[in-house]
Amino acid sequence: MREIQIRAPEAAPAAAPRAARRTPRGRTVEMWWAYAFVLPAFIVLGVFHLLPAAASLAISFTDWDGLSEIHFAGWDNYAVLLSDDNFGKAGLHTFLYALAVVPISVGLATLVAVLLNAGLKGQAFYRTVYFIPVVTMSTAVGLIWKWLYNSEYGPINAALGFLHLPQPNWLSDSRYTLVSIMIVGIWAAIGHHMIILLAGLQGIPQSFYEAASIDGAGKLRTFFRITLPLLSPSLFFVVTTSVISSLQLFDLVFVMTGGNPALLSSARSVVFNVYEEGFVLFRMGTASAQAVVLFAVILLLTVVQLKLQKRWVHY
Amino acid sequence: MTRLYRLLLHIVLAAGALLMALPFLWMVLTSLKTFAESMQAPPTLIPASWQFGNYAKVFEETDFLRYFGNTLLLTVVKTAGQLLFCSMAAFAFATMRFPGKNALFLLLLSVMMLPHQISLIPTFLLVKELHWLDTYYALTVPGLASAFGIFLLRQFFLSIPAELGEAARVDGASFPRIYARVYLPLSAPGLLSLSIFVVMAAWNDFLNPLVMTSSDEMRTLSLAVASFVGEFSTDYPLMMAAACMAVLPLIVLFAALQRYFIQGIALTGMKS
Amino acid sequence: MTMNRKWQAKAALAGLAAALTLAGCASNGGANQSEEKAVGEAKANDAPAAAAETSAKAEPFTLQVAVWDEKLKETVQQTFEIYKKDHPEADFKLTVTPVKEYYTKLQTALIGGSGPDLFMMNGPNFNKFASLKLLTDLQPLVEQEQLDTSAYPEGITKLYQYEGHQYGLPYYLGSIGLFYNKALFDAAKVPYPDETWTWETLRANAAKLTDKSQSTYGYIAANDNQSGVYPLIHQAGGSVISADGKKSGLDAPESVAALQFMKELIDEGVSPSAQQQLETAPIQLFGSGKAAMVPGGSYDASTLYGMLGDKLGVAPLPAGKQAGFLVHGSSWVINAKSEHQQEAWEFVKVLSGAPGAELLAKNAINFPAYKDAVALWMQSIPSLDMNAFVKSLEHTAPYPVSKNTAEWQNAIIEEITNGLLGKQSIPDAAAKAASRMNDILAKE
Repeated sequence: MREIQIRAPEAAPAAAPRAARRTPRGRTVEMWWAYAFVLPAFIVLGVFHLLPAAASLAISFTDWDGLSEIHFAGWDNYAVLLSDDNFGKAGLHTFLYALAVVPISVGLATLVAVLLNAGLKGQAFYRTVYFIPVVTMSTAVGLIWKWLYNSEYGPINAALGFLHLPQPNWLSDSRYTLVSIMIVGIWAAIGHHMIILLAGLQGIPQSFYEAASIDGAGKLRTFFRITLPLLSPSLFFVVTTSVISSLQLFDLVFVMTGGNPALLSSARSVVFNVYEEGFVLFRMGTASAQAVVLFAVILLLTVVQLKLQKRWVHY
Repeated sequence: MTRLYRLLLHIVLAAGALLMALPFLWMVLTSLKTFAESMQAPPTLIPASWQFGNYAKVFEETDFLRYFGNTLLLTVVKTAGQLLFCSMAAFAFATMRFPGKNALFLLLLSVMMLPHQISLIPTFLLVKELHWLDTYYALTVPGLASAFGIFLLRQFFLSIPAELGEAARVDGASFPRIYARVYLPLSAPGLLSLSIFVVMAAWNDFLNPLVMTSSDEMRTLSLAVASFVGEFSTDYPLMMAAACMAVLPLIVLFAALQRYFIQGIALTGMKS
Repeated sequence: MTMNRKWQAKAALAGLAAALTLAGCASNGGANQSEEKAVGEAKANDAPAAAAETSAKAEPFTLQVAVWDEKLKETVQQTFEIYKKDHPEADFKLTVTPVKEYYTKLQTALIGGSGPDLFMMNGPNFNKFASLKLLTDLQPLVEQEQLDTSAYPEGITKLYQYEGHQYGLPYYLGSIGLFYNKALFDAAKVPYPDETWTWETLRANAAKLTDKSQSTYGYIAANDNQSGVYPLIHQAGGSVISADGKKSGLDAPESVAALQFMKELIDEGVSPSAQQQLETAPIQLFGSGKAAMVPGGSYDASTLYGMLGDKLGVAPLPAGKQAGFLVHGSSWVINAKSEHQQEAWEFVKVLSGAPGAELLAKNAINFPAYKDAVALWMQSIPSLDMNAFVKSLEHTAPYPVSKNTAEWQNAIIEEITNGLLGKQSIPDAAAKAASRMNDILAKE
């Protein structure tokens, strides 16, 4: 982990060769080279990311089905969303998913990171195991868990039965469908958060802890007074990215409901709706409107978090 | 730390690790059962007879090698593209002065903020107009550069002492030469970190191939795993065997390059 | 000499193709179709030239074919070999996409101007594809060649007509029967089901066949439209959609009675619950020996035979107020944008005609729509008397479809599932399903 500190970004000034910049000709040469260097990347980004995003906004004001003529539809698509039962459900599910997955996965990851940072033997082993779900494709994750959750032939309920605990029908009981997906989401995210937090923890100078122990501070006190504040930049990063990625929930819903309308009605997410409207029902207008709303919410939440960070993040 | 405390920590961590690993263990065990045994209630843990033939059956019943090849191809092309294009742009942003630099950088940051889903439909329509639907172009070209990659490498390049580049410039080296001979060799860890992100995202990507491809020839592993639910809906052991083979390459890669994975991920946490 | 005659035959064929394309345009040339017409004319002008070239050096071409059923792979391949005898320059590529994604993928590809040259189509999706003008109108070809459509059951031929024009040639039928597990019947000393069975016989015997200690069920009240729900609605004397296709029939008392019957069987514990069925499909439960009876399609026969072997039996569905079910079947259609219209049409004729149907039958894939091949199919699984599937065809009604069938089918599945799960009462579920379906129908 040492290299990370060495390579941590510095606020270095633009480091171009000064000697060459003295002449106007040198400056022109530099300019053209710079444009040449950024051009390929910006063509790709512009054509496949920036323009499409702008186009999405435009399409959201039309009634296009991908085939027929386009008609301007004003705010119709957005108005439809207000009364669209599916969109309401999707919004609620997505919100609840983020609300559960973000704090629980970050909380558990913090716990694991702190325990791992205690300098135990086998740290590398634990780190590896916790990280495996992160490199596993989400469709495989969904498939595995779908089988784990099977109330008759899956191991989870077999274990619960052995312990004489209640055995819910995880995925097929609409009360638990979303909860089941949340559990998988948490399981899959812990490793990722843990690695970032662990790096943050290892960046805290040992001297702080030494000072605390000289003052006779207990473990909990040290954690809340020293560890947590110094970890807050990493925590902030983890929370922000985790919020964004949970709001983009799609793969797990797709695989774990298997597209069954009854299961979907208790688990559909906003991105699932965008997919369904756009690529199953070919209603590009409403699909784009939903994507735009999602983007607006993500943007808003990110801005709010950036504002709030001043209250709790210590740099 | 007392012994008891250490033991307690180990117990907690081991319990957590078990929860992390059990689903994979179950996947492997199920993949080796017969269909009848997988449908036994309560389930068995260890297969009564080991069905290694399930793995061969996946190859017989699906074009698994093709899916594997497709996934490998798109992963390699995307990674190569990102390493080249992102490092070039990052070099310009980190070391050069040019009009519009700040504006372009802001643009870059805003692209980074865009959730992918918002551009999904227009990108699909664009790809359709280009007649790229269901081709390797659709799977690779949009992913040849990323704002995140440029940002990550820029941070790396900024940490390389500027004097190195200046010295080369004084010696008459051109910008491409400084990029290729001074900066790239010094940024191997950064490039490796970026590759790891791209490999992970490309290998596991689901939504893009789902939307951009339609034929069996273009299917990726991620899509294949999802559609097995339909194909073998009667046979969970086969599905698990397929899933096993789809996730194994990245797990092996991760085990081999663990340090760089972790460093790369940790590095993103630093950028704030 | 022979060469010359071949050339003449091909030139004649090309001329015919050109004439057909023109005829096709003339017959459907509405006010809005000027553009399409122009394209058609351009194609027609190109055709003779292209054909002449073909005959000169037998230009190779590849037909792209798509199906949703893995089981069909070999059969379609074999049918192609037959086609290839007359078209040695032909090559072919078959794509199998799981049915869950099949129509989404197809629609995406076709709207994108690509996609297979010919592909299989089902009733619920047909009208939508035809109305989006994604399919080739086969009517002119059928008329020109005086193709005998009476070789197929009338209901299935009609299913693939849009605005009076034939767009698909029938391939196979989905006849529904009651599959049973002889071993479980023998163990419980219950006589095998036959055509005298009614709902009440089913209920009584299912109870005898249920063994809670072994967690085996007497019957699976399958929560599946085609094999489970629609047949019961039909047997109760109800309908899914009104004859004019404008109104849902789900809220009628007959439909409610059918759903109520399913719910009762579940509540009595003789059928796995809707929850269990969501986790493990009925066919999977039955195939692994967990249930004595399941309603299923002729398309399930070979799969179930593979799982249960000689233990598998099949009988006609038990009757309610009346016997039977809503018969469905699939067809072959041609991509309107295919560059090989004529070649695709030739292949469709082989697939849906006697050669294709016979292979379908011999390989025990499914009930051929081509009537003359049915006898062959009935012998394809020696231990299984598939007469049940044929006999029950006498009491069928057409499969319910409208333009957006797939959309309202989803609404029906959702509401009925919630009803069977006990989240809402059965009458509420039926009423909600009907009102959602009516909303969708009203927009058509």
